[in-house]
Amino acid sequence: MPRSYTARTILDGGQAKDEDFNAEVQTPIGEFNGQLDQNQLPLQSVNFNHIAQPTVSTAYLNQNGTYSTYMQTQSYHQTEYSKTELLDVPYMYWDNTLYAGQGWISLQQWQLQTHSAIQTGGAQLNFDAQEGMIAGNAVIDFNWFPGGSRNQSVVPTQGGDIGISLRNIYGYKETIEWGVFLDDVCISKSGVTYPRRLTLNLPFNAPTSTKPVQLDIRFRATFVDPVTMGTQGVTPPSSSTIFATVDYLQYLRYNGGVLWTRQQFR
Amino acid sequence: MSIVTTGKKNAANPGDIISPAKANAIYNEIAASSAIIDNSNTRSDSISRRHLFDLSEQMTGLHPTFHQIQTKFQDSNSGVYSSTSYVDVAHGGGMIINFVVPVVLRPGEALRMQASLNMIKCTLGAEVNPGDVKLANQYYFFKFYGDPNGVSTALSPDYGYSMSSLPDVADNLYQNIISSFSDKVQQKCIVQQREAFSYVYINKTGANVTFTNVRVKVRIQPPQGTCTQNTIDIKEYRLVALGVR
Repeated sequence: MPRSYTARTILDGGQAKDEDFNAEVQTPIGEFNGQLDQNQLPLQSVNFNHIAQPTVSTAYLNQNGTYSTYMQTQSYHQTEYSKTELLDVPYMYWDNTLYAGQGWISLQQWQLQTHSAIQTGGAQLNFDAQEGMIAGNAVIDFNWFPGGSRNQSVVPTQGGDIGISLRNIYGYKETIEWGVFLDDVCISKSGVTYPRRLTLNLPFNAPTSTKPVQLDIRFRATFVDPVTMGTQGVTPPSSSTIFATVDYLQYLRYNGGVLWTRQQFR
Repeated sequence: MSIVTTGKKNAANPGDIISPAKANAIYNEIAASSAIIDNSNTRSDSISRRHLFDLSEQMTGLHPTFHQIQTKFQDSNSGVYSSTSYVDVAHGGGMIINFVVPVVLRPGEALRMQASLNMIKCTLGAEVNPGDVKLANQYYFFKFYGDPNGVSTALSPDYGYSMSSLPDVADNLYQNIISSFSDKVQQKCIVQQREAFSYVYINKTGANVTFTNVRVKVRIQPPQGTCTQNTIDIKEYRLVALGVR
């Protein structure tokens, strides 16, 4: 059947025999009403929906900044965080309430600690997955920074007090590790990293089922309590007074990044 | 799938008089019904020749799943970079992909980029005035750029790296301690590093966005005070870009 039917207009005063009329009308009406043949290609496995245009969610979700685009055989999900002013990025020190030893800390929780919810990003994806696989990258620009303390000894002598100052870097042997978690299951880890600024590109892939999923970045690090730095590495002279001054606190800074994943379900 | 039906039956019996008006009304109704047949109510357009053609490896820009995949790889050359504003990674032919056919991203479609570079070493500038620390400002950054609709635009956030383990400290006494285990600036300790990053650009606008190229740019943080500029040496790199729908 042709895709559209073109009416053969009968002019005023013209004549049509009944069989002519019936032959003209019967075929298209019959096909309209279900008399399908191979021209309609009733394929069950692939239809128009499978190759339709992708759709994209129209706005960031305030709680997690996830941006999703759903295509026909796959979907992409992305969240990013970018700040040019260093003051706008979160810092973490040894006394942060999220830090409790060697446990994994959610980057999203840390972001929420620093920012209003709408300003977070780069840390967590929430989307509706279908049965298939996810594959993506976590790009994390961070600064894992050792601290510096100054131990000052004041030794009294006959000629007056003599000050001795010794600078000490602390925390330079402490490491940080980053991981990507899918519904609380670790699917990728960076391995330990020593202090420096670094952009990690952490690839991951994992199977998914048909359900809403949460993909997020976490880290675990060791912070040194600066109070313990007072006499570290120093044998105090007798009759001396020691003042410990911490010039630079050991810190972790998140400078920004991207978390994106592709989900292929057909 | 919606259903197109017409209530008209084969109503002409022998001996009936068929007026032009009646016949034309029937014809017009059929024509009207046929006009609303489209992809939503037929299955006949599920796979067209165009889709089968696009599934080949040809760079037509019309591929139903991938617009285009392009890779760029270079080996053996190296380049030294010192600019404090973003410049192209230009050695070895340039870390840029010029698409054979411009990638046209429809709303909701995405451009995916992945890149890596081999960092050979970092070279510190000289300290001119006492008090200015050459290691104090020692970051360098990479960033994805593209030309959506012909306008050179930064696409990704900054991806930053430090040359030593103790950036941000403007104190020479500390820097002298920490630089002993800096692996990008100490000649005896330098280890080449592969630095990698990626980005997904989603067309969040309501209109098509056309890319003719994507590239990676680099910049070095300006040095502190009177110190002379730090530099970095880059050797091999790889850039992959693909459009997805």
